[in-house]
Amino acid sequence: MEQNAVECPNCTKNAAEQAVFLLIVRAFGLRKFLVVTRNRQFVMRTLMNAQDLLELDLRGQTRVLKQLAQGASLDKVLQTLVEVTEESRPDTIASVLLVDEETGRLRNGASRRLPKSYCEAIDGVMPGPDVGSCGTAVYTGQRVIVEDISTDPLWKRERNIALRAGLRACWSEPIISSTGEVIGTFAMYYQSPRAPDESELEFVSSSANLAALAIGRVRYQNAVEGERAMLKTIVGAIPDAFIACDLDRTIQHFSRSATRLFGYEPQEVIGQKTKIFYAHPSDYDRMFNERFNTSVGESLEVVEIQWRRRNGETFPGELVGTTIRDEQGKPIGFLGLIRDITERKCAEAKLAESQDKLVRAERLAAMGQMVSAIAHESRNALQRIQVAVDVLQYEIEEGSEARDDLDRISRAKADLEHLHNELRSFAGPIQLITSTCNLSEIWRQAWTNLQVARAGRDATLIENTDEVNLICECDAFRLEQVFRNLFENSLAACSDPVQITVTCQNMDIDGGSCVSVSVRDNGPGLSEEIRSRVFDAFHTTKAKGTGLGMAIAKRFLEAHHGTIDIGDGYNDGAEFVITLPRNTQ
Amino acid sequence: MTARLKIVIADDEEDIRQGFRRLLCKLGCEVVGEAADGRELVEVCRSAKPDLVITDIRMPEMSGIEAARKIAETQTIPVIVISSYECSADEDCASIADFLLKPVSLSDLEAAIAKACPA
Repeated sequence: MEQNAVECPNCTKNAAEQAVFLLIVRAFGLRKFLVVTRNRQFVMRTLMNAQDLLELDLRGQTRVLKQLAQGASLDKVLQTLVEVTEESRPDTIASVLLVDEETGRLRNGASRRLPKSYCEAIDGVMPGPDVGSCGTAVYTGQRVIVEDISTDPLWKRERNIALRAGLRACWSEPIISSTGEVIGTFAMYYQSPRAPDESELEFVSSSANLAALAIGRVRYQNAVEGERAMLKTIVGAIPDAFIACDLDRTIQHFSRSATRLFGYEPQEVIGQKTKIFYAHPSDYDRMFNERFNTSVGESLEVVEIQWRRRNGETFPGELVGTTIRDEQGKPIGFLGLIRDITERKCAEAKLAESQDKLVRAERLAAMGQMVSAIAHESRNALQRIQVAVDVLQYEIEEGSEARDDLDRISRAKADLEHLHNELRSFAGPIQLITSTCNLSEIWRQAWTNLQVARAGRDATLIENTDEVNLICECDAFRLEQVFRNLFENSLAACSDPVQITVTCQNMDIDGGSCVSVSVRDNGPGLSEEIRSRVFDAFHTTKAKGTGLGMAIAKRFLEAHHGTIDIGDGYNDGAEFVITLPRNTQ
Repeated sequence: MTARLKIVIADDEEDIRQGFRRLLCKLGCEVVGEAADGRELVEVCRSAKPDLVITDIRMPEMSGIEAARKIAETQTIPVIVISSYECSADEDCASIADFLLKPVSLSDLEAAIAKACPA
């Protein structure tokens, strides 16, 4: 100010001129001016402080903006606004009041030189049509200039408080948000009555704009941070793995649950391609074609994919994939939600298995009823044949052709009876009649009962049962039939000398004591084709056989909670291995 | 068998009764009565007083087992049961001497008779 300047009193009358003036100052760094006014007069006045004031104002506003840009808190930014106002205009007392979003009342926002008692008195005031300068400005949304508080009707209520605080003038500018809502006031107080000049009005208005900007920015930032926090909470609460990647499928975000599911830490995978998660590379490519490329349509369809964990383990998981877009709708990446469905798969498999079992059981029960009904009716018919054959045997001489015919009828009846018995064993109801038995006695009995079939054959039964406990709780009659079927098959398949070897072992299955019995012959063994069908009903390789023998054996053993399977050997005869729990209960 | 064994047979199938009658005759037995159901069997036994009863189980009016129980109330006659159903535990009855599953062969029948009525 010690430097002289030529200036025009009108130059600060409007904003445009002020701006031009300022520009010249800044562009040329001039401290001295000769300004021609509109009425072409040169006016010399010591108004050089207006130029300095403008510069100060500008510097102050820059300080406020800088703080705003650096993310300072709202309190700090508003406080700075008050500070720079009071620094550049020493006779001004600045104040910012904020409108409480919930109550609509005025709250202290920032002030430095306003007396504390005054601040406390106006904190919480409800805006109205005649509530001082600020309350009225908020209420009307218009700038309120009170040149003299002691006489202005707007101050009738707060007048005494203000006067006691030594305040005589108050100019208040409403702070209006970008949405047009009044969110506070910027006020300039003076200790003597005073009217603003053009530049001061301009200043109060631009300060309010700056405050609006600051409040808007901070509130927006708070809202964004609130949303971010909520989003983070939501993402954190999702049990599914949450993986975001950019457009070329490079991982950008890897959630906590993704770490839980895949075993990778985020820093291990961020920057890598999502390919590392796919158990099969073909799925990675397929997902490119179907979902993770910007040219395919959006779909929330769930895809089932086999995934790979960090430790190499794979698991089935459902994937929902979508495109991430920016505000303009431009794709910027992809998002995948992956849910482990191992447990569900296991449950589904178990359910399917038990349903399958149920269906089989139902079918078997239905078939059992049918077979029982057929067996009953057939037995009556067989009885009629039997009794007639028996009577005729008395009447038809042995050796005659008629007697041969009768014998044929008799054999046919025996075959039919055998078939019915087999059918009943295969499909009829099974009720085990168990007792404590020695297994060796059962297979020996079966061997003895095959005396007729073995007649004229060179067949030996070899037993390897050293130190094996052969005592079982079982249905001896049915197990005898199992051994009989095995021996019959061996006798039919092997050429003499036939050797059938029974080898036993003690076993433990699921904590239960079992015995395993292997029956092996020295015949040609089982071909791959036979191996796959050997337990199928009605599958036979014998010229004369119902094809039910092994199916019945399997059913009887299953009724004992045991098993029968083909042995491992291919070349040294056929081998069947039975496992039988010592106690079926 | 010195004295001819007097037998009553019961089955709801005429052909089976007829067959057994002829067969038993061949074996030297005398069929003194026939019944097509359990109730008839009880009545026939009361009048014919046989040495042995051979009966089916499933018959109209009254089952063979039920009839055997009724007969046992007043008479002591061994009963051979011949059925197309396998024997089950609840069909136990003191007077039942033997249980045979259809079709019964001549040898099975002879053995059962010999066991029920030892000479």
